[in-house]
Amino acid sequence: MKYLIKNVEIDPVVKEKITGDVLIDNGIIKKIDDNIVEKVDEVIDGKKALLLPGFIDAHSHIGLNPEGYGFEYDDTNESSEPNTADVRAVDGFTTSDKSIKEGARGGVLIYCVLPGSSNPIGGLGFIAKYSKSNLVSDFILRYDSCIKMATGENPKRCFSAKDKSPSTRMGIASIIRNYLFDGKNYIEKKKKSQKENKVFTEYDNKMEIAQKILERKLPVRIHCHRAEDILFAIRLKEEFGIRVSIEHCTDLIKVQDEVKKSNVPVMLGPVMSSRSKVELMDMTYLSYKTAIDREIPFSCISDHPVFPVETLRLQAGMAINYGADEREMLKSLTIYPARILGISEEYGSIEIGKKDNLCLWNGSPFDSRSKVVWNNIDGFIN
Amino acid sequence: MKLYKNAYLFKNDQFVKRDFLIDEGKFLKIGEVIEKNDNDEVIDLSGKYVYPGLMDAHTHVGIFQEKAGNFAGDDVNESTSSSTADCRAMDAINPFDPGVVEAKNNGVTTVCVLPGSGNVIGGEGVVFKTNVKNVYKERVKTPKRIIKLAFGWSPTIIPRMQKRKPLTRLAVSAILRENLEKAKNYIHKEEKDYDLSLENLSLLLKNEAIARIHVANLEDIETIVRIMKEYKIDYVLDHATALHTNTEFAKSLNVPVILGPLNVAGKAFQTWHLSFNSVKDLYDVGIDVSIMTDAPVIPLKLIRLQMFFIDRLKIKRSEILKMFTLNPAKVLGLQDRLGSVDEGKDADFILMDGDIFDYRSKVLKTYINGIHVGGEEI
Repeated sequence: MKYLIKNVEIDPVVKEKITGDVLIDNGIIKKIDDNIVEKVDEVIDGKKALLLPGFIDAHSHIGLNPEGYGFEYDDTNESSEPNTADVRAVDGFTTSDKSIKEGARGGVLIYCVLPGSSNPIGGLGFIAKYSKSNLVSDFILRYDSCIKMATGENPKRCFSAKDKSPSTRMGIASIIRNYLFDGKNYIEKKKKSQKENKVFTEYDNKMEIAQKILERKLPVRIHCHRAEDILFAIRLKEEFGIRVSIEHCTDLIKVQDEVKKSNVPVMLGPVMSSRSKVELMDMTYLSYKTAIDREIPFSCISDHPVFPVETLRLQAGMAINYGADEREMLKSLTIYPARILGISEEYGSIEIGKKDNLCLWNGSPFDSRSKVVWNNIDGFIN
Repeated sequence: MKLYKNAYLFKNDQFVKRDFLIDEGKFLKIGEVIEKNDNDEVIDLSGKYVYPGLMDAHTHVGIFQEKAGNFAGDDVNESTSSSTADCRAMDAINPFDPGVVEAKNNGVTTVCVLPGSGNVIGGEGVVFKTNVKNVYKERVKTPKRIIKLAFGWSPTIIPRMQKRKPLTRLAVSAILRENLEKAKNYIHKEEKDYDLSLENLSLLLKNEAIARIHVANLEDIETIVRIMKEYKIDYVLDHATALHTNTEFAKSLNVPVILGPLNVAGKAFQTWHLSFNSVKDLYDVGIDVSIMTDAPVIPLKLIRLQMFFIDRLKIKRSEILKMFTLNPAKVLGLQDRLGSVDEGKDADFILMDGDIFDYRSKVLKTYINGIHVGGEEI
């Protein structure tokens, strides 16, 4: 299908705004110009509204505990054992979760869905794209896109309550380290049997994943709030040469030098919630300004359902209230998470050659009174 | 040989008068008029209606006994581990379970009994006729062995109470993959100790067994299909209570579906959308639908209840009847032997005093392998 969005204020995110038209053919942006004349299947009159890329929520648990379903249908945490590297968030995703549609209402069309943070090694995440279908396969943008790990209070609380390891940060670190060392041994074993021309008969799903981590094919997303946990994550990256991003990063301001030096991306948030545990003591919207000032790659996350994905834009708005640059906060919902998640060739900005992931706003997304009036999946929204 | 004369058979939605000859437990000949040979015993069935014996490819009769107390006769889930591939339904079947006897008297001639859905890998199922005494010796051998799997939230219910894996659907998939991976390693190992669980799981990978998958909501159907395709396993979807919510997807799977039980309370979110209309939604896109009672969820003696409700959907009655006869036979790979009144097939049939779709009609006599084994009349 070929369609034309006419008469809109286009904010490409990576460039200056322009007023004009956008031509989309077969899901790809073909032309951006001040007046496009072309035979198309559908013309959308934008009435001078603001065209933005759909927002990307890089850290979410949407669909894993559909809202209103209650604890019986909670698939967020497989907290039966500390290492569940081989579980996949995609296997617990429920397309009928009400918050999916609400998220679209708040401009969020892409989310990276991760297992929860009860386990030191939680499982595989995937990237989903908003769809009206009831099939998970219509949501999947990237299957097995990353692996979730967690440090600090959450795994400590979960397992010490059962009198099991880990009950301390040391225990958490040792479980993660041992897993990666086991992965190294596994790779050696495989190589050996290959050398001896033997059929390898010790395939193991968890170890296959460890191999992918060590070969830098699978980025590790580490849940860290406190400074010591952030420093551990940076150390892990250096020790094993793996790809790491720091999730939440509540104490960023305190360890900003180390984070800056290590070049790890940080997924900041959620700040729009209460300080429900000790490690959130120093949680502040100022973290966003720090990331911007220090030029640390970052994104603004909802951690849905910690706070509802629909209001992700308002968290960014609050960061602006605390002195963060508005342009940068827009990027933290679009091009920055796209780059961190490795989907920036297709998503995250309005540029020729990218996919049509678009929302039409009747005002600034950081203003609570603004609304998405149209997106490329639902069409016009009442 | 026994010659039955003047029975009404239901062919292409019409009643036709037919004679049929039974020899060594099989329908030898069916015709408008069959002449009597000297040694033939003649039975006149004037005014009586003959249907194939009813079949249910998904039950727990015999292992989840009726009228046996809550604990004593309940052997349906070995819920001490999530993978009990070494368990066999056969070892727990009480052929004298009132559920089996009443099934026989109400026209059910063949059942498949599966382990329950408490475990991700439940164990092996078995097929037998309802006049069975020694299940092992008299069971109906299927071309492929039957392994029961359970997917989605069901296999998390008991572990959640026991506070062990799997607590989530995430781990249900992981457990299945983990065990299949072990079986794969087992197949390729040159030196190995015999392992019953892995032997049974290997059957799935070697295409010598079919996976019978308890699954409900659409997302879980997608996940299990992904895994079955990855490991190239033959499968059937059991329950599949939300499959009809995307018929295009359902059609693309090209697998038989055993739907039901339909007249039960939809407690879970997984059965939210299930109704009798679901049968028509799936039938209309060309899926081979069978209906289960999941007995004792619905006792087999009430098997015809669902038939009456499906009849209201205005599907051809001969097609509805197939959902209770030939289609379950196909699922089990027994369509050449069971499921219809046709020459060469086992003489498993029921004699009724009226139309099977009329709730007032009774099963007068049930015949298995040509022998009168029960009915409502006695």
